[in-house]
Amino acid sequence: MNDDTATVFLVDDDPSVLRALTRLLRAGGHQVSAFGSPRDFLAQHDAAVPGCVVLDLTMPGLNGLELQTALAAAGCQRPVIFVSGQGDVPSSVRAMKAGAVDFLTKPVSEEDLLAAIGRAIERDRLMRQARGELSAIAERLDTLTPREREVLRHVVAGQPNKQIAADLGTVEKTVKVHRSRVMGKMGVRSLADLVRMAERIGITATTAQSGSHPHLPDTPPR
Amino acid sequence: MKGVGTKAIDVRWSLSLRRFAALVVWVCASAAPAFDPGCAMAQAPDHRLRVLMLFSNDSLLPANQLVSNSIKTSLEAGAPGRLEYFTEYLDMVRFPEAEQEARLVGFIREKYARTRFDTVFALGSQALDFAIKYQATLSWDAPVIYAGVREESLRAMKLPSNAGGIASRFDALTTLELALRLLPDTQHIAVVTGASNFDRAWEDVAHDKFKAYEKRLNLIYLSAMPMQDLLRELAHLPQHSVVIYLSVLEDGAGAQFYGTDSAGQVAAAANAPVFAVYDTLLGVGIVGGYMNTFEDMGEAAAKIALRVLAGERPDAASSRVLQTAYFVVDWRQLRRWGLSEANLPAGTTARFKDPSLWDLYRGQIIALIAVLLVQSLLIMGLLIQDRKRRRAVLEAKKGRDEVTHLARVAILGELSGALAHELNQPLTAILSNAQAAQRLLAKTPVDLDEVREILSDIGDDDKRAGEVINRLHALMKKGEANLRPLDLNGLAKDVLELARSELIERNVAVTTRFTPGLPDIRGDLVQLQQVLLNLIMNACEAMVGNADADRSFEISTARDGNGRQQLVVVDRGPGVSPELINRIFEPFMTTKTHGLGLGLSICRSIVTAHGGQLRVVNNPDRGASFIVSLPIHAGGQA
Repeated sequence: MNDDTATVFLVDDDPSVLRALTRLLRAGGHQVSAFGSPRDFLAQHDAAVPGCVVLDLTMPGLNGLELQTALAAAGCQRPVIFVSGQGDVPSSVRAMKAGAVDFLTKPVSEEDLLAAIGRAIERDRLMRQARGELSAIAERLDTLTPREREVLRHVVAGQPNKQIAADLGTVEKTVKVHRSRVMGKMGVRSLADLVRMAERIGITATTAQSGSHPHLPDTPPR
Repeated sequence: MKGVGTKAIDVRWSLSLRRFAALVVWVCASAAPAFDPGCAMAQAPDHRLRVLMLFSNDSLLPANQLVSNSIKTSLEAGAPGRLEYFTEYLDMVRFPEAEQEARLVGFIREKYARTRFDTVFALGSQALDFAIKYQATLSWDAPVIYAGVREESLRAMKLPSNAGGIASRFDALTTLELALRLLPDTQHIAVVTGASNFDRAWEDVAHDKFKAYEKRLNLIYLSAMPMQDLLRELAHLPQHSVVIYLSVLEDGAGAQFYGTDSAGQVAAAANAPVFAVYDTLLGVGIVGGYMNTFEDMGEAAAKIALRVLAGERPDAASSRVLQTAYFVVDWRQLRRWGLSEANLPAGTTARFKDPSLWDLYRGQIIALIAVLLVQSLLIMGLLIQDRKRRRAVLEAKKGRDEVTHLARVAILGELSGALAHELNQPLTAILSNAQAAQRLLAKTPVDLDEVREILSDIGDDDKRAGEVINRLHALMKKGEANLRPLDLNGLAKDVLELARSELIERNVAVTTRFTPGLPDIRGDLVQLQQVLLNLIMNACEAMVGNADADRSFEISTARDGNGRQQLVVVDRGPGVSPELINRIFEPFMTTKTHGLGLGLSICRSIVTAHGGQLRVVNNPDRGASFIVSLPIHAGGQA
């Protein structure tokens, strides 16, 4: 069920806990990359590698929450599972607000941990997939000429060719040529596909501006 | 026996004074033959009082000396002039013949032809008899004062008006009662009397007085026996016997004795305690009796003489009978016969009591005892006080231990979250390892090396959890201080280990500067851990207001210059305000909103109890330094 390439990034300052969790996760079939401190992790981890982070909440230097914040700041969307000796409400609330996918108390049960990791990896996979699709769309979008992009915006807005031609001060035939070129470059066959794609990258009649990339959504697709 | 013959029985006197009585005459000095003594006294600047003492017995009789001395002493205390004494010992008990008496009269008349007496003392019944019989013949016009005459004898005499004095009572019955009191089991009474008239008179008295006891007791009269026989008899008295010695002046064989002699022999020979009625016999071996003293007798007679000299009529000045008798015992004899002093009548005089230290040094002993008593009381007081103090010290120590322990528990309470974390770490590791192992075992082939490693790790983690619990337990439990050599660096590391999670939680960084190779100090591990833990927690509290990255303290160890070691906790908080810096170690002094403010005061008392010092200084830049200095363990190298 796990993505073969997914890695669990374990961060715990306690060497014996780190070792034990590493063993357990490996025995559970995961790739594990273990770090003894948040700094090591930040310095060494490769954001491109899919997978999730299992973070001890209480560590010297950066604590877990700060690490999470630092990750987010670096644009890394990797899901984080917190493990804490103290299951106190304030820290769990903060963790969840900061985007933790799960919050487990030590000693963690195997089932809970593996299940949480499974969910996190799946979520990472989906996010990565979504991000992959979006960036493919964005790449295609980049190949459009400004004129084609303008045509796209109008098409997505649901305007008929005649109307588009009038708006752009050209003839309907030219619009048709642009339109089919846009369809080709964007790799869609139907208007409906095109509209769906445009919706995903947030292009609306008003937002599709020449030269500007639509920004990627924060939240993963439902 | 002469005319006096029948009365020779004069028991009282003759017994002891057996031979003579004395006549004492006062002579109104050289001065006029004034009839009236008062007149005589009035006249003479140089007037002399001539006193004649006439004794029935001879001069060696102890009683005679006692009486004459007593008369002399008493007279001199009250007489209105200088006294001159004359004595005549008639020895009429031994020489009762009429010719002898006639010779004595002649001798005395001629001897004192030119001497006029102011007072004549007649001591003993024969002497009294002689004086009144011959005073005219002898041309005596002085009053005759008698003493030592038994009241029974006196009754048989016809006294002229110029005679006065005091009768004696020798109480055989009361003496017997004394004997029975001391020896309640008595069944036999041996009554000892001699062969002289005087002795026989005593025997009659005994028959008369002891009649009341005849039914109850077996009365054995040993009268007029030769001394040898008497003594033999006395040596074989039946059990529960008592001897009453009355008088043996002459034995059945005609041998003459002083009372002291015969009584002494009787007392030595008898196998039972001997009682008697004359106090002169005390000391020769008798146990005691109810007696008058001859001193009292002399004194009484002298007082009567003085009254007569002052103008009273002699017969009017007389006392009926000497009433000064008392119970007297020889203490040595009580001991000899094992008689209990407790049975003596109240007021009994015990003679010959070994002059005990008490008798000799009464004053000193009382003073000494008083001093000892005072001293003992003082010592007792001091001991009691000391005990109280010690108890109080103990109580105080107990209280202090209690508070110290509570403070320790309180600080552990503050750490509890962090401590749970410390315990959770190994537990987490153990659980995860165990579960990993299960998974590994489910696979084929089993990676046995890995499983072995896991088991070894589990063991280690378990030990680690155990250590956490032990550390906690040591701090939690109450116990006597246990002083032993300690490595200060190790101690500090241990405490940091304990506080590790708490420090992480509080975002406080620690730097350590441990001087290696320090000699051991001597102390109680738990208490010193408590001190350091407290200082660390205080440092954290002090830096609550600091920015996250700015919370740090330093722990260092070093030798100080004075052969001690220092443990210093330097924080980067606001420091201690000047008004607080001198009071910070006082109990209940706190700047926190929670806590009792006992922590530092307890820390200081712990350190002080270790012979060390705890003080605080504000750092030049910021924050405060708490400095613990502790003496180096005596056994360690300096």
